[in-house]
Amino acid sequence: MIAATDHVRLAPGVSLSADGLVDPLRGGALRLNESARFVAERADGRTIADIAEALAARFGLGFARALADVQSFSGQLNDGLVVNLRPGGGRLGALRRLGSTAGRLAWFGLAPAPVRERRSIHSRTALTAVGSVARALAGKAVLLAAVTAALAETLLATVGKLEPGAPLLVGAAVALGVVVHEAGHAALLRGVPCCLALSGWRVAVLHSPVPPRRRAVVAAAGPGAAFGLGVLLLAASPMLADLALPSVVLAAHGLGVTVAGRDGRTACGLR
Amino acid sequence: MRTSLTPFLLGCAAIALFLAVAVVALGVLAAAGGWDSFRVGVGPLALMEFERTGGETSTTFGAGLPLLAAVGGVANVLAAALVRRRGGKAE
Repeated sequence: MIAATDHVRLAPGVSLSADGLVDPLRGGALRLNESARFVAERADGRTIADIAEALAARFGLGFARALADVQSFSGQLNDGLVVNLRPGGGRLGALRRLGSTAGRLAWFGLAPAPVRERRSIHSRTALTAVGSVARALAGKAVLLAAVTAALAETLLATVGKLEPGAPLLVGAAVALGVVVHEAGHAALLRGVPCCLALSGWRVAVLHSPVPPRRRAVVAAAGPGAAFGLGVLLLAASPMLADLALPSVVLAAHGLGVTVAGRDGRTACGLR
Repeated sequence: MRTSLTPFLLGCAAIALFLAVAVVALGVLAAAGGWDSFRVGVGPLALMEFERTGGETSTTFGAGLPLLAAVGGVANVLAAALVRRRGGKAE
């Protein structure tokens, strides 16, 4: 899925030192050999092809071999959320490529692995953490709201007794729920290095190790925050009945503290 | 003991609170939408009852709600035990 035109950059918070790639979330450094260091030094927004060309010239390799090496190494680093990849040719080009790859893989019953992205969370205070999560997820949230509203429109049409604006409110609740959920985790990570990990539609907050009790509380805070917002909406629903359905959508996040969800498994000490 | 207590309490709380919100929301929608009286439940076990008498409406939680919450708690304990066994995590 990684194209020669993709731009590669060290993820926010990751730096290159004499010991290797330093990630404050993991602690310690990822040691690199000479060619890996050569690639990492150039992961500053250059394209994969540019780096491959430099690698080929420096180590006397053929371009095709160097390109394959850089693509593979960048893919591994991206899997570990150490580098971010920005598609060359913009979002539209990436979408076209995704469609073409998905079409080819579908013959074998496979789906393309989504490119991962790491976004920073400023955890100096709870407020800055919540703000950075909201900023990082704003674009995805709008898209999610639109897709969910369209789906809800189709599904709720069968009920027939609801107001015309109900699908829009459900879409907004789904999107808001995701943002508030992740912000809930981040708010309780004050002073702890953490980041947002995006992979396709999946979003997660990753953080440095904390004591087990705090880890459990942080895990429960995400579902708890979205549930709390749902209760607030429910309290306002006698005045505006349209808020009743979105309140249930938000309250459903509370089920995330059961073992069925990752947060629940963490809260129960199973991860 | 504690390894079972946490999943039980979290499972109970999650199911009970979610059902409580869903029941109240359904009551609000029914009241605003002019729905007739209805009951949600299985056999004698009611989850909620919505009543419309004249111009007034009322929503009542049924005995099925705490029972369902307890079932959710037990299911969560069993699921936790399964995850623990598959993951090889010591008790």
